[in-house]
Amino acid sequence: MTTKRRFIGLAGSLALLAVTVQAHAEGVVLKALMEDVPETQIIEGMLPEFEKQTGIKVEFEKIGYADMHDKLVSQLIAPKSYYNLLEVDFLWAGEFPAAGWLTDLQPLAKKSSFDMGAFIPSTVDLLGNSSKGLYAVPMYNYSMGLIYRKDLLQDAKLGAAYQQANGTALKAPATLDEYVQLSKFMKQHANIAGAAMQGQRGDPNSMEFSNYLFAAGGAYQDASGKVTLDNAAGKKALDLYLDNIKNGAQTGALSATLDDTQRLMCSGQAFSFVTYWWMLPQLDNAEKCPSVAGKLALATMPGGHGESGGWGWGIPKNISSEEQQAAWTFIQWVQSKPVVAARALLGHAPVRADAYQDPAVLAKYPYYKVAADVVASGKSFPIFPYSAQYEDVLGTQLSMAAGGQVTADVALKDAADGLTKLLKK
Amino acid sequence: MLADSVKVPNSCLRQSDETTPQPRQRRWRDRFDRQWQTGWAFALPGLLVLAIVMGFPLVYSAVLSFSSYTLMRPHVLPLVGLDNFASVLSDPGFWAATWLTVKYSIITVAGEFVLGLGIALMLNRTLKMRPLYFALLTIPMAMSPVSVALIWRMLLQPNLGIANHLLNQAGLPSIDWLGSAETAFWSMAAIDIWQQMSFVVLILAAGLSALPRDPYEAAEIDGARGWQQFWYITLPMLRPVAAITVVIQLINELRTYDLPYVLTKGGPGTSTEVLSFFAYRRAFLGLSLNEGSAAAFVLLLIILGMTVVFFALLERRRA
Amino acid sequence: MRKFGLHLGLLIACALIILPPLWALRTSLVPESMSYSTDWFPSLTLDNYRSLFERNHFLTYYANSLIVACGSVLLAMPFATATGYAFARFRTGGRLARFVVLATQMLPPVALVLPAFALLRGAGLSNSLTGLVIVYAALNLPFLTWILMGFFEGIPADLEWAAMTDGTSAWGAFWRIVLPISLPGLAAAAVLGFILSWNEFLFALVLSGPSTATIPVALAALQTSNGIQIGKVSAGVVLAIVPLMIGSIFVQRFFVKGLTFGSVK
Repeated sequence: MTTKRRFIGLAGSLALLAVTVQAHAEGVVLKALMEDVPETQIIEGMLPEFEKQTGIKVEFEKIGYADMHDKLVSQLIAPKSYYNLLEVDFLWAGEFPAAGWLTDLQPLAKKSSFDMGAFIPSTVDLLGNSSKGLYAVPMYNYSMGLIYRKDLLQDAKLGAAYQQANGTALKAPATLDEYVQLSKFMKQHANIAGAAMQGQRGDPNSMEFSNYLFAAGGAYQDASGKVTLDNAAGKKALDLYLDNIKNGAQTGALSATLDDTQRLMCSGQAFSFVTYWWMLPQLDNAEKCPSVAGKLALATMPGGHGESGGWGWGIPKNISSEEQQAAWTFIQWVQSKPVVAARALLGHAPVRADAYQDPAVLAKYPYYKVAADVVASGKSFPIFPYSAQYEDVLGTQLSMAAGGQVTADVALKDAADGLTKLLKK
Repeated sequence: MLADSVKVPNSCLRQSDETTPQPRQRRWRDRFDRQWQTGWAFALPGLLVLAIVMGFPLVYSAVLSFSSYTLMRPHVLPLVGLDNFASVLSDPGFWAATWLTVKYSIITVAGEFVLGLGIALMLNRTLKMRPLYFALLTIPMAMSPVSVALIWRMLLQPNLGIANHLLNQAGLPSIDWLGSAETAFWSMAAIDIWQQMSFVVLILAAGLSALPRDPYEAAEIDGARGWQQFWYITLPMLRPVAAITVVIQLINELRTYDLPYVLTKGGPGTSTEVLSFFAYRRAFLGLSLNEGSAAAFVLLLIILGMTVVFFALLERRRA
Repeated sequence: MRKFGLHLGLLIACALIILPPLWALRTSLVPESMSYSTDWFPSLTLDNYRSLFERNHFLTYYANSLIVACGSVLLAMPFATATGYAFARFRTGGRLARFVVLATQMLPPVALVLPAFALLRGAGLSNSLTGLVIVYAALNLPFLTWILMGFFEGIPADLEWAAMTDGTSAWGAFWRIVLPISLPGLAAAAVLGFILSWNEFLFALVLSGPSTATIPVALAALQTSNGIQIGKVSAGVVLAIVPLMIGSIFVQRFFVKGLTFGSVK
């Protein structure tokens, strides 16, 4: 604890020092704009080690997600970027390379024989990487799965009521239909919200809906790139989503964000929660959520596929080659096997396949077995330059349909058309 | 009737630009007008600062709105004339957002002004606990719009927040403050009024305190009652300050951005999507700085139009 | 009896206005996990404040905000006062100048922020407090000018005219007669300018660096994709209110009815 505090003091004074150090070009200081979340804090704690090994100082400037994009863009379009190491969200992973702001890491990887095969393939793909270029190295994932109250599934009274109402036993859902049915049942009979849903327009509801889409066997685009959002599977997904948000979700779901649903789940007022799989340790915590600690379980989204998201490391083009080299050294170090294993033991959500099989990690977090499946089976929201805008377009349609402003069919068609239009842009 | 018997000295009344002044006033008006060089000497430094610091961004933004500059293709040329404006104006979402913004601004400004004026009047007549009242009443404006939105989101959280908790304890059902298209608009307006009211109180209290005492003393002698004093003396003398307060608040409300961004992100549906948010979607999310700038300038023209109309109405009434 | 009615009205107004900040104060003193509890004080703690200062370098941001807000007001007021006076008395530039000046205020900040950033970069002032002070001064100049214009227009010109007839220059009349009378207006404008700078977010976000950020930027960082740390946000809000409360107690002394006119007579 004190070492962390000491380090933060050091980082603070380094930040002031860095302004002058930069002018001298004595040694490269890596400056990154990061989100202030546990993942960042875990790495921050290990930075002194990196500095000892390589002599390169690293500074993290922490800011909220919503503002990161705008602040980064203003630096990336300038002649020289202040930030020489980038944390890139998968939603920007289409925009940044298309705008020409990121260095292709392929040559660097080849020269230093960096093994990209160590990463779970879905995490590499969702960052927009392809044979055309490697622009972001996976950092951590936020794939989504289902967290639910296993104690309620084991409740005898509820079991009997369910048997009577639906003719089948009360158990964890295997398909999307079963899940929504279960959610509505819980709302009626267990006196709690069947699902804590994030209905706020934009990122919250479009990410949540993506889970429903993939779980129903739908997809945003087919292999050829044609938009398939409004096919039969898409329709089914939207109907089930709307059904759940109207009949199974908490009051005020249409304005809820992760903050709201997380707190709701923590207070024991919801049966289930489609969310990042690593919310489990945060909720299953006797100190923070005494009402639900020990009663929660994690599962892959019923239907087999959930929405995957993740962050990656990138290197801007508009910096010196020494800075680029220093940034690459850091990326190699922070995503190497031993460092990732150490991060995992502190609660990191790994993107390296071997981290999920590390015995020490599994001993501490047994549910990582399920997590590995969640991450591997996850599918991605369309990644292209206008992903962020599409989130807003889709989110608006979903919100309008959920509020009754338009019918589901119209919303689905407009959402599909919106995607086609943006893809063509 | 009363206006005849209460002779408010002309020199204490605010002079209109448009009414025909009395000979004495015309003389000093001419005198000031003749010294136009002095006027420019006073004004030039400030205008220069504005021109240098704000001029460049303004002009650049204007140029962008005629250009094909996007973050994907960051080149100003070729200029595309009015294409961006056409694209923005032909978007049905734009007109919906415009109507919503105008409606929102009128409601909030009216609410702030009426409540703010009422409080300022009460404040003006007290002496004893004034510092305390003042300190308390100005708290909301010390909070940044983002903070206001976050704190109110906490209060209005539908399942866990204190507002619904209190309602439930009183036997009333919970309200879906921000999650229902109908209530979200009004909740946001109420929160905005709550915050901006203290601005209005501050400026109107200052304005009221700067009013001369003579007309009131004369009115007392003539037997004018409280509300008559208010209607025939206070209001007319307060007019310049009040008018400017309304204009400034109108401009602020038409540009509202932080509140919907944090509270509802323009939702549910499009029930709180104001114009600045629409512009933001184009410029930042859509990476189209050209269209975002065009939308911003259309907003500027709307605001300018409403301001000019408001002033024209005000000056006509004064005659 | 009337006095009682007045005080009652003011008390009700104050109650409605301060209940939300009061709840914020309460939330700042309660552990994060209990922020949404409906009890007043489930458990008291200073952790939120401690964490703000230790982990989020709040003291630096607080100092930056104070420097930038005071600096921009000190910079803007002389210009705004002079220009406002010119608009009010001399009608400099006619209606056109007034509205053009105000027009710079009518553009949403979103449209201005990237060009402003490019401008500061060119001047070598990006990521600096000086740059932010200059930008804020220019940003607030139109509003301040208009407010002061309104106050000046409300002051009858007789006194200045009388002085000028006696041979005083316009500048002398302005300095010795108008300014002392317009103290309420000056105070109100200064407070407004301070508040606008204190609460401004978008320009601070883009134009400042890690060591020059201001309070709104610091508070925005507490909205993480892992949830909103409302306890710390509340603590930050409570701390941010303090300077203005102190300032307003000081400033309201200028708002005593008839103070200025009585003395001038």
